[in-house]
Amino acid sequence: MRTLPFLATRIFERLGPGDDALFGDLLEEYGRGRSRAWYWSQVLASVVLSASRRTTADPLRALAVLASGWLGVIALFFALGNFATLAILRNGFGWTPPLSGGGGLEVWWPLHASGAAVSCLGFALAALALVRVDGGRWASMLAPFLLSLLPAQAGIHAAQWYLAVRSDTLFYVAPVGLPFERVWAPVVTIAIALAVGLLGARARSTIDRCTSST
Amino acid sequence: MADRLLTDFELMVLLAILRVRGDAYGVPITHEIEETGHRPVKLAAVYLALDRLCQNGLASWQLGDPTPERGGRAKKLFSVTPAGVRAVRRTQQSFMALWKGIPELKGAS
Repeated sequence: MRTLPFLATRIFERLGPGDDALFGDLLEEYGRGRSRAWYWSQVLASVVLSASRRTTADPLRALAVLASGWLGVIALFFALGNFATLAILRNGFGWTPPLSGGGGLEVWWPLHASGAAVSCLGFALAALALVRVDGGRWASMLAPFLLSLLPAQAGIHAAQWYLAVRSDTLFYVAPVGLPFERVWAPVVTIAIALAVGLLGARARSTIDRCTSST
Repeated sequence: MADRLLTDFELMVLLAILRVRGDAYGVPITHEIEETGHRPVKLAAVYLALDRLCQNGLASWQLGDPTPERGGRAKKLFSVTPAGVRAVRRTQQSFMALWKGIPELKGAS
């Protein structure tokens, strides 16, 4: 039997619909000579359709799952994010308050690095929580959840700059928005959160939904 | 289950099961739709439709034997229930009724 694409298979096992028969069909077709691109496209379609099915079958629950992820992010960033960022800056780089208007600090690399580190940690923990909700049945919502964070990060970044110009409130949302200072940073934070979510999700066996005629 | 009409994809899936008959699991059902419908189909989309049809009592399944080429995973062998056959007929009749009396659709296939 041909070796299966490792990452795609892990994604299917952890974020897919959890249907052994479907996985067997994929194995059978791949073994008959289908390409790696075909396998990847089937896996990604499975994940997307699984998330879509869960959302349409129980929209309130899906919303609650996304909301719980968001609440986790908000709690981490607003309750612990500033504290953690400031702690890194104080202890690691000898920075001392007070901060006035963010002047000059926006180009200080430790600020960006510590903000990005806290962002990574917050997103990763939120991802981990989401893939464990309800025994992992909602793990397929991980990708939509992480994608929903990108525009939010951009919005918070814009708000952060507005607040920095208007008042001395730069640090209120700094850990969320600061990674957006570098084009690659949001992608990296989301990728790390995705990796943590994949590692944290449990491989699921068949979740049968139909009633067998036997 | 209310007497709703089938979606085009549900109709194709049920017809594919009926055409494949004895060995109607995901792979041949998908091949049948791709060959007769001339469109690429994702296995997950077929399973999603099958799941919905099973929940609505229009199809049912039983587990087949596990095979080595499937990594020891069993096939789900699908069949159309009598309610499923009635739904196919009802949908066909509705389409035919809509079809009649349209000059642009007469003659050429």
